[in-house]
Amino acid sequence: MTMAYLWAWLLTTASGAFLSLALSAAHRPGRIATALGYGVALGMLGAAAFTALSARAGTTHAWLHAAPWLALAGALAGCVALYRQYRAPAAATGVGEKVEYWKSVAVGAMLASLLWRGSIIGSEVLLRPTYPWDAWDAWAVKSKTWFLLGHYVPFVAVADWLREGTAELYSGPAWAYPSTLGWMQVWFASAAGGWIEQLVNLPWLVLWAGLLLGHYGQWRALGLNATRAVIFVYILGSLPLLASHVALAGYADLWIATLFGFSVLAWLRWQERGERDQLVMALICAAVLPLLKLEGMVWFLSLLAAIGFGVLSPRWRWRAVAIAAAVLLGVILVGQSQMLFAAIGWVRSGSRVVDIPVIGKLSLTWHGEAAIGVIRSLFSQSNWHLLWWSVAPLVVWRWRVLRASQALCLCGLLLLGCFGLLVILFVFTDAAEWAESYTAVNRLVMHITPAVISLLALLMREPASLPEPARTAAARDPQPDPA
Amino acid sequence: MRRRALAVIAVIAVWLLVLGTAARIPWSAPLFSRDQLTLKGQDFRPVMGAGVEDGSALGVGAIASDGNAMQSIPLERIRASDFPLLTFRFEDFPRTLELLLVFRRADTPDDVQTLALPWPGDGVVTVDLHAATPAWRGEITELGFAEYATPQLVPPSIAFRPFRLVQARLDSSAWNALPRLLRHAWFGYQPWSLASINVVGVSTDPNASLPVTLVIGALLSLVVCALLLRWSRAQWLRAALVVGALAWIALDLRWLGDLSSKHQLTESIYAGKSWQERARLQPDEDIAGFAQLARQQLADVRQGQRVLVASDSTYMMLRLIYFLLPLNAVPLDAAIATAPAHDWPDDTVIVLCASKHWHYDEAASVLRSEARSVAVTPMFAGGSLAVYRVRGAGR
Repeated sequence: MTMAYLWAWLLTTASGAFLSLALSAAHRPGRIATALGYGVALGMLGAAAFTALSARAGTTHAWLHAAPWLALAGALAGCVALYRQYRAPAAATGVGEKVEYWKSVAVGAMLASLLWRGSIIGSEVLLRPTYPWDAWDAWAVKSKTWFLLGHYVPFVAVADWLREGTAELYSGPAWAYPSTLGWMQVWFASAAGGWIEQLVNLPWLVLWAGLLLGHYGQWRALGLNATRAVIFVYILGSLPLLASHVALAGYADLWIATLFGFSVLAWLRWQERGERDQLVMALICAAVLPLLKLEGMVWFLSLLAAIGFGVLSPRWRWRAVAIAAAVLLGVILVGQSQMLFAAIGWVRSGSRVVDIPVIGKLSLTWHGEAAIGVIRSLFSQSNWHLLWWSVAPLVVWRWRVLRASQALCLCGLLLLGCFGLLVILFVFTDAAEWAESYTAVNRLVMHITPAVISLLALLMREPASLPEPARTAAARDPQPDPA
Repeated sequence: MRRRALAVIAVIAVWLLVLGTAARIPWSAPLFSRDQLTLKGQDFRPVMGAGVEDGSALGVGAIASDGNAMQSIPLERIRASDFPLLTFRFEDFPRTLELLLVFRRADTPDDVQTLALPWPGDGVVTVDLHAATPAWRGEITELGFAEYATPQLVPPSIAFRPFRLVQARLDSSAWNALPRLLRHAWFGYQPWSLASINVVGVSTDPNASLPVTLVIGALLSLVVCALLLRWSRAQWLRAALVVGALAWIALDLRWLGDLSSKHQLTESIYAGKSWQERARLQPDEDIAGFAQLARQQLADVRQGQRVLVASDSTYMMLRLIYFLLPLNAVPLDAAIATAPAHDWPDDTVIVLCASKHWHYDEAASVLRSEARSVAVTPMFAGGSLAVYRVRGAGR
């Protein structure tokens, strides 16, 4: 590992953390964790953006071309952060949480368990060359090509590639995939001084740590006490499929899960605490999703719809629901229709066929085997421990808290909608084969999993830390202390 | 006090019921197996690779040239239904190898049936063959073990290390096998696979699901305790939280153990090596070798020149393209499906790797695959690799 590589990491982390601090001026618990968590993710994406903009002609030393811009952006964000922190009201000096001895031991054990697994999966990343199929077949193709060539070349469809025989064009099965992660890999490869797959894949480990830190920080800012926040960090960090995506680094799904989770948390914080800068953060995290993976567009639009729905007055919400239902009914009745969606393009529906540009043509029919596949994925296989078994009982138990909090209700509706989309995709369309073969069902469910855990965590807040009227509702619930 | 004692007994009964069902042990089975057939390691003969008698065991010291080893023993037509349980023991079995059970049935003497077995390590492993494969039926005439490098994970050149086959035993069903059956069904080591990014574990795992078993056992235990001990709602909730947390921790410890075992394999292959050595140690070292050879043959291609790659195996074709980067390579089938060969750029090159679908017709100087053909000039042919330059392309 070279000094340049370490500097590249320092720069990404610092600039991202400053940007995060600039967008969260309020002094709330978990501020540093939030800044670091969001910071590493935003910093790496910032590095990708500046590499794409400034290093196309010289990818071998890409990081040297992009680093000054990233440093400048980080410095500017740092100045804004300092200014805003200075102007922000001082934090209330609350009495420290008194934690019983056994809880301290339990928290210590959970943190030790996370550190242990972090060391194992980190070592896996640093030892093994790029392993899983799409990591080398799809996600690393552009970055490896650009880096080894020493300059950028466009990737095009095979037809264009054959037609333009003399032009320096490239192609491949994943030519249309977004290039953001590719540029990030170029940044780290150039800093490492060579195409060293282990060092190019290390961001996945750091992102996992950032995911845990960012969620911890935001849960604390949203009123979860430290012990419960650590419990839910353990729950999130112990999920086997999430750890597998780090150990077998190279897929974009962990990035989608992290950024979607971050966006939902920032949105919740804006709703509950009224911090406008968190809305900006939520929109930034959401806007990045389509740049990471094509399916990210679906989550981006879902988030936008939820945010838009949330700002409507109650009367207009019902109208919006009625309009959406009428449009859907019209589409079903007419049978054949096409609609232009912002950022997606024309969605065409025919008799039992839907053609969505992001996903492709899907014929609509019931797939029983796929339904069984989805159920097995969530409840029977070892991907999620007991997470999906716990969701319904916890929601039922904390139903009053959920009903009393508009922010949590909206979050629940968003996640229910996202889950519904996945169920429709896997059970009613040709994508059923991905559920029957288990090739995509778990990875797509993973996209919303951190956000689902956030919802559960926030339902488990102590009554005193809930905004009214959820506080009164929670006080009426029986309270066996889960922490 | 009496209620508590009753609750304890009821919970034990619940878990016996749940675990027994999970292990698929018939309720009529005795505590100890009635029939046993012990096969000493020394009685197995090496079919592939080399082995020598080592006390009562068989020491396997070498693999065959194709990277496989196999040891087998003929049986006197035993009824599979009488012996559903297989217990076996190896010593020094390397983590880099995968183990298969191979057997023949009297009704299909020319067919070899196979079943993937859990990694044996140094301990005793028990498997319920009846539950694991529908092929375990009829009369068995031969039984053996086969070993090979864990596919797509371990470079075959470093996979083999000598080990000893100590003993195998076939048993009738019995309750005393319960702990061993469940231990290997739920806690046995499973190596990483290409599917691990999609599913943790094996999606076709025939064993009962541990999460489902834990949930059912926990729920039944809670209901029994709530009824017998007359719990209040708050007590029930507290107990449910505690039981849920314990179940989560149990699953997590199992996952950590598995993760740790997976990592031991990775360490045994890559630890202590430089970045370059790690890059060289590819699990598919044969494809990496083909890529190196192809690169030598394509040393004079201009930057950006089109290269089309074909292989019978999609994995091999895509992997070869990745290894060839930054050469400008695309699957041959994708190009053929897009435009006729005469529309391709005039200096297009084709690389065939382990391909039987595509073959070179020397008389006509064309590559053929079913109804498709491409006029080419051979540049290189050696072993499973061949390189051609497309002739008559117009661009």
